[in-house]
Amino acid sequence: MAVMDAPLPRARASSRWAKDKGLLGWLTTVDHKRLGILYLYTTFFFFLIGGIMALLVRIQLAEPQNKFLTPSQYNQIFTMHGTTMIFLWIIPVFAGFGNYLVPLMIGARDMAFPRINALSYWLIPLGGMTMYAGFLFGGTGDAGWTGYVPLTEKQYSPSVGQDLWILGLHTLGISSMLGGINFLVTLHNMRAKGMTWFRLPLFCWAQEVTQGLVVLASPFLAGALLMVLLDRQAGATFFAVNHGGNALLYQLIFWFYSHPAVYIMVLPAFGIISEVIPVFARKPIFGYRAMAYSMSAIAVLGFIVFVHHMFVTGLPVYVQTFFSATSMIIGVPTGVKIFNWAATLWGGSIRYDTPMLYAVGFLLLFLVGGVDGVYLGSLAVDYSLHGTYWVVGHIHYVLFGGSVFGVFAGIYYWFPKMTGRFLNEFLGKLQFWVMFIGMNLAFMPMHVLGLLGMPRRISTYADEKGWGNWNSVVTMGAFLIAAAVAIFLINFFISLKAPRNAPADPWEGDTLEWATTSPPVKHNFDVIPEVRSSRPVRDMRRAARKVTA
Amino acid sequence: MILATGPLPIAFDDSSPLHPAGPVDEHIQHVYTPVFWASVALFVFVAGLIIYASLRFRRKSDDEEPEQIHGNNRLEIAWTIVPFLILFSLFIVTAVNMNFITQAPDGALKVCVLGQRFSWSYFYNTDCGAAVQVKGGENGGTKLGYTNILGKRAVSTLKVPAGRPIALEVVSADVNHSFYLPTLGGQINAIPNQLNHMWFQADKTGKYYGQCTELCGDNHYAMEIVVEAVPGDQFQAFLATVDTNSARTGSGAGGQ
Repeated sequence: MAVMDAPLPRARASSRWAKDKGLLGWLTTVDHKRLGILYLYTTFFFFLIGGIMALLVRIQLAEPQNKFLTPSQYNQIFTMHGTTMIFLWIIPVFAGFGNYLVPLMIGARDMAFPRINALSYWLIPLGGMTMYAGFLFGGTGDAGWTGYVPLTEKQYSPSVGQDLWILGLHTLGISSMLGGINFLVTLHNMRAKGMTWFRLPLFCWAQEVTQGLVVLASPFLAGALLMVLLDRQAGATFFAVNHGGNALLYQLIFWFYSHPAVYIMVLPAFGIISEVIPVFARKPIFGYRAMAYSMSAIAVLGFIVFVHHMFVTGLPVYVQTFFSATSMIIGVPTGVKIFNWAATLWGGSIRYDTPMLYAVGFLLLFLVGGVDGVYLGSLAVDYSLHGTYWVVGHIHYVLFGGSVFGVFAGIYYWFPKMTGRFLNEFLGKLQFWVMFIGMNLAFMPMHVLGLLGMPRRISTYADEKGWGNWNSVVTMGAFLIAAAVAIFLINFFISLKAPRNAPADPWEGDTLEWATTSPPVKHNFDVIPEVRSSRPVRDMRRAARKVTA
Repeated sequence: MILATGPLPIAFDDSSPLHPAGPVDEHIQHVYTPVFWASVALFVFVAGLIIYASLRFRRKSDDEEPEQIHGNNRLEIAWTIVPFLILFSLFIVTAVNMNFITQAPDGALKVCVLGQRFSWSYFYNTDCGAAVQVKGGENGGTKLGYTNILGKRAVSTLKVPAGRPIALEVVSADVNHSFYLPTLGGQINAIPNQLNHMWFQADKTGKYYGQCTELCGDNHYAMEIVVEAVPGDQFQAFLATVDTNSARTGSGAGGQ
């Protein structure tokens, strides 16, 4: 288990990493921390691109009969918005946090397979560029992030952009799977002495469960995409109905991946929140084991709810009813987590630095995303809300209010560790409030639009539909979110010039990354600390206090 | 009255499922309403808990150390079981309504609905069964000729008799579509080579609107659905004009 617990003399350790200098050092690095930072930069870049796509979509929809984008441009842009945010931002940004933090949190010197780690990183810009190359060849994929057949079959989407979209996504899938295996091996074999499974930080638990899902589910996406590609390019007929293929088959395979993928996108945020809340409330997480078990339960149940994405495809009612039951029941472990976070706050001594603001914001927004999901899990209600803006509102409360708020909590929390500098607190709080208000303005009215019968993915709508005013509000909210991101960028660039005054343990943390310097030395720890509880750094602080007293 | 206005203080117009115009959507509302109130109650309770705790337990002095509580089995069991019971009862409410929502009553008027980019065609007293006998290569393998196979005249507005159940068979001639009637009866996908079913009944005469809810290409936004409910005798007269017309060849209205 703990294979690297021997002290490593600093001089020898530094010489091993001495080659990591300059640009070439960054390009050839296999250090998990540098790769983690490359992940974070790259994915944030794609977040900005995906955000620009979202703004273009919102400008087009701001008023009825708008002609800002043609329907064809609109379809490409919303397709690239969804694909970018899911596959080039949320999934890999958490891989970035995991890369940087998992070895530090478990007391290891690197990931298990550093070179494979570098490969999984470099596949991300490659996959992203492949997808976006469509803009140079007459248009990108334009069938939505779900890429349903028959729409993506060659006769309906002849553009090479659709092939590039498939190839890019395929590349990103390979990156995820390689990374997933790497994380699992690291977590299973490289924990420091004394770090048992139930002393493992919940962030690492979240990574364990997430990466398990990645390894088990992603091959199904790869399979579905490959079948479409073969249909398009090699004359295969998996989904070609007039040659005996089946159009619905794609959805079954796709959602067998893509529902677990929702948890791939949100479990790591659970992990971040479970680190931030106890530290800023000065309490241990309430119900540690329940937190670990509920994540595992979500992962297992996550494989048997996927048919709720197909409630209106005409599957037999008894099949749908079964999946309606599981879809409602998966709310239970999610509820357990929310209650446990609330109970961690209860009776605590809460300090509101920016990471904590984002964590509490996460709780409230994710709660909305959980509650409005119950409507869609109920088979009957889904018949009238499926494919409407209700779904768009729901997914954004989960993935923006949940995942993205989790990401920002993580950025503000670990920025001192990664850079040795603090982000500006005033700008951080300003960003939080602008983003919190903006996101509710943008995504709450989407529920109303869903109840008014507005379908998703339409490029424009008639005035008489009465959707114009609500859409204007949504667009205003989207621009407020953009303003919040601009505040973050300003904060980021100002803070990179700030004095390097972050101590090793600025927040009174619990977990091992706070036991090393900020930023950590290249070999992470001079001596791998021994772990005696789930809060080893708190133990060290208390021991040190006893010595001085 | 909740069902009349919807439980939200927003004036929903006639395109909202909160304004049922027939028994199917009424039954959907029988599920929606309990889901709505349960979700409001859950949200208010939990959000209240979070907001109260996060305001009440702010740090007062830097050296206070709160009690280190690691958990409480009874509480944790309670907040596993109570949400389970709430969610499970919502599931039961859903399940008991599904039979009514999905099973068309006997004697319903049969209509075949054919979705094709970017319009809908309707064929009366026809099941689409014949239409889905797809034969490869007949159209160069690029386009399916459902309307030819059906050999009946299609109309592009779904005229129906008010107060009579309508059983739809829904199929697509090309990509996936979704036939969505928010105020009448929810939706069902139109998928090539697969017969899907839904039913609805318009209680009153008038026009009801919906549109395609499954992305089907550039003009997806323009794939409108219009249902016109007329008195029974008017409908019979209309049906006679449709039937006496000779079978039309070529694709249905708006076909490519």
